[in-house]
Amino acid sequence: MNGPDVQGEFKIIFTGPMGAGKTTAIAAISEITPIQTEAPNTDRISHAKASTTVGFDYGRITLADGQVVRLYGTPGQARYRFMWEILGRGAAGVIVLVDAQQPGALVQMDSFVDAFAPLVPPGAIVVGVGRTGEPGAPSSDAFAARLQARGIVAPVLSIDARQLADVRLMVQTLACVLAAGAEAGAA
Amino acid sequence: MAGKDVRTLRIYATGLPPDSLRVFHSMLKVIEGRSLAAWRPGAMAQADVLLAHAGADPVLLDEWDRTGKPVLMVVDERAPWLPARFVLRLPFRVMQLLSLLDEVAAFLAAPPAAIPMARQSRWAAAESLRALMARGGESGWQVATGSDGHQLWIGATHAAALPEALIALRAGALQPGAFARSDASPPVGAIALAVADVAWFIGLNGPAELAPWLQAEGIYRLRRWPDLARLGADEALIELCACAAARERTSGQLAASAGVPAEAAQRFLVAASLAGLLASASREQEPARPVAAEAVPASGWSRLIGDLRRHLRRAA
Repeated sequence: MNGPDVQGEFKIIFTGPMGAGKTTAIAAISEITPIQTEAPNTDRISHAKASTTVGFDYGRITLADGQVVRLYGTPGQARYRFMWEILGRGAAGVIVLVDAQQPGALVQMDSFVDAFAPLVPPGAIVVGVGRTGEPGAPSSDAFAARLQARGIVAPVLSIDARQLADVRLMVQTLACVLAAGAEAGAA
Repeated sequence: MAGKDVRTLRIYATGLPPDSLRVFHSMLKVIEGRSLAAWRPGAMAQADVLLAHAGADPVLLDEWDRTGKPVLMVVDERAPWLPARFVLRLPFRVMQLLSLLDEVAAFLAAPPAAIPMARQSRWAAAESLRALMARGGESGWQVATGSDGHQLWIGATHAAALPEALIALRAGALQPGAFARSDASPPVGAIALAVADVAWFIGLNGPAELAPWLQAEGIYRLRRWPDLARLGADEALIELCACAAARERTSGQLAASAGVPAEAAQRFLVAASLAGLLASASREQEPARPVAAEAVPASGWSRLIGDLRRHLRRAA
């Protein structure tokens, strides 16, 4: 079953390839120090960073009445794909992060959108693209046009995952998409 | 559209890779009877519209440009977005072609000059930009000047403006006149930006009414989101985008759904239209996959989403 788990937790998934900024984004917006499952990165070909998420990241936002929004970050490597479905099942929405400077960033976006679209309500996807301003990197418009070519209308935002304002904008946009979907469905 | 008298429009394709050209001609046959106009391949001299790959012969493009007729530009997958109103990105789907050809047909049925002079002056910048983008840009520079002297420049691949002009444009303080050809170039220190971004701000900060080419009873939806991080957005704009992407709506319905004044919805629609993000949904459109009825969160989640939005608003 896709879509929110009515009886369970309200969770937002942060996903994307290794080095896209998932752990950083959750750390930026979580009210607690995120729980991380990092291990030494043995795939230095895909990304040069020293460590990478092998289980999941977890952060939290507590709302005024005590309700909790849970933030999960998935591992980025395809060999941990089995974790994607475990984490994504019942999620309210997904934020796909990609690094425009990484080779094949457009294809990477496709693969994560394809993996998570069946797990969340239709349309409950926001794409955050980092480093779009770097020379040779595709612009955010190229990512949006690629989604459009596949019949997917989803927000694509140029972001810096280290900036709280940018992470907040992604979550805020996802919340608006969910609310608009609810309103459109009820009309 | 079957059974109605439809206008026949001829389209000449140039610069496309051979396979894409064959696919394009097949698509024209597929959309036969479903489009606003009857589209036929034609020679360049008789064509009403040019379909040109961005890498097509520039001499041919210049020659076409002098006719003032619309251009449907085709760009490669990774190519930057072009300063053109009608753009297809390879590989494109038949419903995308149908949607854009219908827009071209609607544009040809109501060209920019067919509006009263009083309204024309209010919409001078938008209309000239719209006409410019319909022709696929110009090889030289076009410039528009605001009452405060700030200038906006539109070139073949991008726009340019001095930093202070950009600040004024974003703030709505720069109300430019019509774009006109210039022999000069942007001044030293001018910053490059996407033409669609200039179009967005001109629409968003234009007159508080629907543009002449949009209809109050028209039904519209967002075909692609603007990059709200790059353009800057308040919650109302995010709300407008989300509502316009979720389902087709009139301007009034959009304002009511997003909980914003009618003028804000109208300005948003003009901005989205000018930037090439809006589709008219009065006919069958390419199937989009926005949030659908089955995605309605349970009522508990609706309240939680509202609480989350309030939380983020307070934290901002």
